[in-house]
Amino acid sequence: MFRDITIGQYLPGESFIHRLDPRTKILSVLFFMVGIFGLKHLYSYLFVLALTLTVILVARIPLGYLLKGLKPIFIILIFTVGLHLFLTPGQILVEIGPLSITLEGIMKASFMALRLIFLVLFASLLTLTTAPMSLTDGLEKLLAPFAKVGLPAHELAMMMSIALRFIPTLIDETDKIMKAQKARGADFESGNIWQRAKSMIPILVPLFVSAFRRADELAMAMEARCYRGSEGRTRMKQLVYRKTDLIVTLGMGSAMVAAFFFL
Amino acid sequence: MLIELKDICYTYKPGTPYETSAIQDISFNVEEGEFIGIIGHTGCGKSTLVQHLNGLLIPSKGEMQLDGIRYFTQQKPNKDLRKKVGMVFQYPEDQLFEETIFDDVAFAPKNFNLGDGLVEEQVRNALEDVGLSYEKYKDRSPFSISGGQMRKVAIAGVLAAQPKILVLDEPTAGLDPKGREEILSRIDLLREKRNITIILVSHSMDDIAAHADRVLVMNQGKIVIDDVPRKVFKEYKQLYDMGLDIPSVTKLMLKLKNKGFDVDTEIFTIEEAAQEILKIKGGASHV
Ligand SMILES: Nc1ncnc2c1ncn2[C@@H]1O[C@H](COP(=O)(O)OP(=O)(O)OP(=O)(O)O)[C@@H](O)[C@H]1O
Ligand SMILES: [Mg+2]
Repeated sequence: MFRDITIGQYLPGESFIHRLDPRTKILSVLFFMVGIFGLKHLYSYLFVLALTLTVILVARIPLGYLLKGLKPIFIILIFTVGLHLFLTPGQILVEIGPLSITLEGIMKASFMALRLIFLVLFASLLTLTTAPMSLTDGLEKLLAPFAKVGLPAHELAMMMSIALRFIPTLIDETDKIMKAQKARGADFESGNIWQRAKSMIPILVPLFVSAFRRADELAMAMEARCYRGSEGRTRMKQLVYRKTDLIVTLGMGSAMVAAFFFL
Repeated sequence: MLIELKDICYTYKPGTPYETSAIQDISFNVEEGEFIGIIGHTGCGKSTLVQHLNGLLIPSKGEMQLDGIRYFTQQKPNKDLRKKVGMVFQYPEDQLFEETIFDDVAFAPKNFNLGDGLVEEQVRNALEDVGLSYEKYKDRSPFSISGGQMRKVAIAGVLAAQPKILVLDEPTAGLDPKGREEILSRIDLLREKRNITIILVSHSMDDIAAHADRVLVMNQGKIVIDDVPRKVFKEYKQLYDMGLDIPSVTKLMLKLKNKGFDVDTEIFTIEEAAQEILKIKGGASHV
């Protein structure tokens, strides 16, 4: 069940999107996020849809794979849609007992659902087309100006790259421990909520034990290689911001500003 | 026939760009009380294969008959199957979680609903079976003992459910030679005592040669040889091609033969090798 998670995964490739500078892609996602919150009509989402589809096509990401990544947010989606559907006051369309669905509710619910879906899709596109290491490099570079006012940019980026690096490891580990406990007759699927929560203990304890051990070993290995933070650290792979990057960033920025104000 | 596997195929992450066909059309039989060794190069699908035996993985195709029940096609894998087939994973000490060794070893028998009086009996037997004293260890934390002892506790945690079939996936990885031999000889002992069927996955040809009755050689998701150790290790050229080794004594005998000594090269244990070498030495001293 953990294996369905595609958010945060990277699909290696050579497409135009893959080769863009990570800073370009991070900024584009930021613009996208801001722009999408300014949309005022349902049909404006056609524009967003077209944009997203273009990126998917250019990056050659299998659509099915991308959509599968929506599975984990399904519950959140149902929840927000439900809340907006039933709790928005306005012109009542249907009444089911104490609950009523209003026209405004339907509108708001669809807006929220579309926003959420497109946000997740676009953010997944960022991680799917950008190697984790270049993603954090890009982030560090973008945050570097704020280091002057005391933001630990390098440390944040390092923490993020370590976290990204260990997500698949932890998923594998969870899978393995679950299998081992199942082999000893553990049952994670039946019983009430309390019993199910309790049945997680045989997974969580070994998982924490190994996570702490890994963290310890990693810290030791980094220290053994003289890691001491950002000062004076050089890079093997330098990020280069090309003309195309500038064009894409500006294009995306102006498109989203336009969408924010006029769509 | 205790186990009968027919045309088992398994694919990881089907329908994604990471799709891997791990095993294809695996078929073999196991008789009650047999000791089967499974060898093969890293990534050839050994762990994937054995996880079908207790239904942790469901094959994309194929059927397994175990103890007269047909799984995957007729019967879904259930707790009953998990109880019959005990599974010791690679690095099983990673699965320890309880506060005391007693509680950890008792986890499986409790899950399989053995009576309370019985559970204590099972835990005691299981700990003694792996060579740990019940009185001395039962109240200690499983995290306060050495790595080798943790391994034994984890194996005891599987034995305590009294499986009919015991599957071990590299149970000796990362142990010193003495620790390895101890675990394997305890497994041999168990087999004699309780007539358990053993399936052992190992990278050590020495261990396989010394303990298994039959060897399955896997390569790229398929079983390529299924025979007694003697015949399997005779095909050393084929094994080398698959990135596998042969037992070190056999290697020694081959070297002696190359040097011009007239020795039998189908020798897999140190005792046999000593006999053979004494024979030619004795022969030489007569001349
Ligand atoms: N959880 C998984 N997801 C995707 N692919 C996997 C997974 N587990 C194994 N594989 C792939 O399936 C194939 C067989 O793996 P398996 O673990 O069965 O090999 P193995 O023979 O046990 O290797 P080893 O000797 O290293 O333990 C490998 O190519 C591996 O990359
Ligand atoms: Mg394996």
